Amino acid sequence: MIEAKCVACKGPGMSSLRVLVALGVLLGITACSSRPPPRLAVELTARATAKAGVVSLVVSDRARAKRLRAIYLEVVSLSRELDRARVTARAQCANALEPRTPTASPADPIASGALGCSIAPPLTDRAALDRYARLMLEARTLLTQREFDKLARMR
Amino acid sequence: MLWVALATAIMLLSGELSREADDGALLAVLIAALRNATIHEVPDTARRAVALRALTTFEAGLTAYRRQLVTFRACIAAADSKYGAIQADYDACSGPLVSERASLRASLVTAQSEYETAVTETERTRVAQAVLALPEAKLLDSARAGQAKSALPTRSRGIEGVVSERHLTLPRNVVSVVYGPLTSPTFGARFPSRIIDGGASYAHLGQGLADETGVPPDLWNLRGGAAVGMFDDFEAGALFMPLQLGPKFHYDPVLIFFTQQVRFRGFDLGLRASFQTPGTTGWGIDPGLMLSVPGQRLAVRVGVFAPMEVGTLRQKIAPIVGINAPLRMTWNLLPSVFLSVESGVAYDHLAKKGEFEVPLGFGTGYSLLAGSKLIDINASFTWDHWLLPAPEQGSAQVQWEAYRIAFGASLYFQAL
Repeated sequence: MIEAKCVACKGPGMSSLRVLVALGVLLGITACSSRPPPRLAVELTARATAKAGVVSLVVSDRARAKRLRAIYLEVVSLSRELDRARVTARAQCANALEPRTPTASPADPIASGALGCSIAPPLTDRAALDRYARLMLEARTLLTQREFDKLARMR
Repeated sequence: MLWVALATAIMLLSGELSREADDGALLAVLIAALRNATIHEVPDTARRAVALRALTTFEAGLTAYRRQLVTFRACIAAADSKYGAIQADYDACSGPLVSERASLRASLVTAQSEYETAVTETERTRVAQAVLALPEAKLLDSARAGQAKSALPTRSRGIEGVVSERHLTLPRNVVSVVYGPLTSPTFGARFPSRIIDGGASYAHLGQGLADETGVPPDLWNLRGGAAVGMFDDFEAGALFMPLQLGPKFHYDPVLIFFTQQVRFRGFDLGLRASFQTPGTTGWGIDPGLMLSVPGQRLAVRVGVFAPMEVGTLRQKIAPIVGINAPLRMTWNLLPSVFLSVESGVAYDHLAKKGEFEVPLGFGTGYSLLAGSKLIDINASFTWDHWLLPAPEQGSAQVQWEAYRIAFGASLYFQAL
């Protein structure tokens, strides 16, 4: 009777412990699992937004801080442009190939050129990248080495 | 580690990780599917071997493309982290890409021709059908149509530094270790039996109020917890370390909160549901609405909450329902230093007459960047029962003797 009581008492406790352990293991596996590399646009956005929110705490001069913040936010819109440019490049590449293979079904991933163009799209995002470089160089002119290092530590 | 795991799990379950990822993994799945379909649909051994060789070229091309991207991203990241970087550093990143991409394209066009020669049109149609049935094939549709919705977030995911500029909820993947007063989750957390704020606090009640409420005249508390921005405008968290240090040490009820915010141009609306684990008056529930107007220097936040304590299933009580409408104005003297004034109206027990009160409080804080983390060091002084405009007996009175002092620090960091 006592043993039966003990089992009854331990039952729910043990099962909730198991659930907790399972949850912990699951979270551990998730944390350690390799994540797919992010797109360049996502990476640039993450770096810029990590700095945009705290730039006023690093740069005491309000005018400089305001311009720097505007620069970092411009990187976000630039990243959207990069995404668009990537997709447009693929479409243009696929469309350019179509006349060369008139018998190919537009749904055929290889003959339509969609696969090849997705793997190696032409570089049409140079303008956006050049603008990114210009913005980053302008940011340096507004920052001292110490301020730059502090912001760089954010991400 | 826990926060990284939690943020990763949420990103994984919500599909955010795959939306943010480059297309390499999807393309690899498509090529693998093409390979399988080709093996099944092309019976002729010689033609099949040629087709598979062409697919191997596609695979090698994909590997080369992904390597190019990794190198390019690393190069840009290196230039970004160098103070002395010049235009040439950025040009050096994209320079090699042009020739590499051109040669990759040429090899893929050759592979495409080889594949088309080796596989008949009927076989290609069947292969295409098998591949296009996969969800990953949407990528090819967007490649053809030139349309893709940018998966970039609508809200910045960086830490919000200046206190007056902060929104009602934390940005996604930002974690806050709450161990100080004046934070967003404890704004208006005034239950009928206790007022909750983070950090270390000392509350002094006048003997009269102590006798009336049954709360000890001198109360020492230590409350800490965490909050996390789970989605762009949704935050959840708990003050899971709620200790009463004096006059008697015990573990207070845990406060759990969920806030959903809607951002408008210039203001935010938030809906918060807070719960308190059972205390002497049972479960506490505190649903409410908040309106916040953030600004560069000045922020105003108001809320309307209906806190109630409803007993438990075993210990039934008549629900104690109150209403609380806090107001907080925050003024950033400097981006890193702020002052705040708090007031509003509170009616802790609607069933009792004369409980209508106006609190008055002041706060200050300093925001400090430490590496990639932000620390807010805050302190507050509040008369929680400052003005009684219509007490049950007598005329309006001001109570200076009941006050609360709280101080502490809260830490903010990006989990991912």
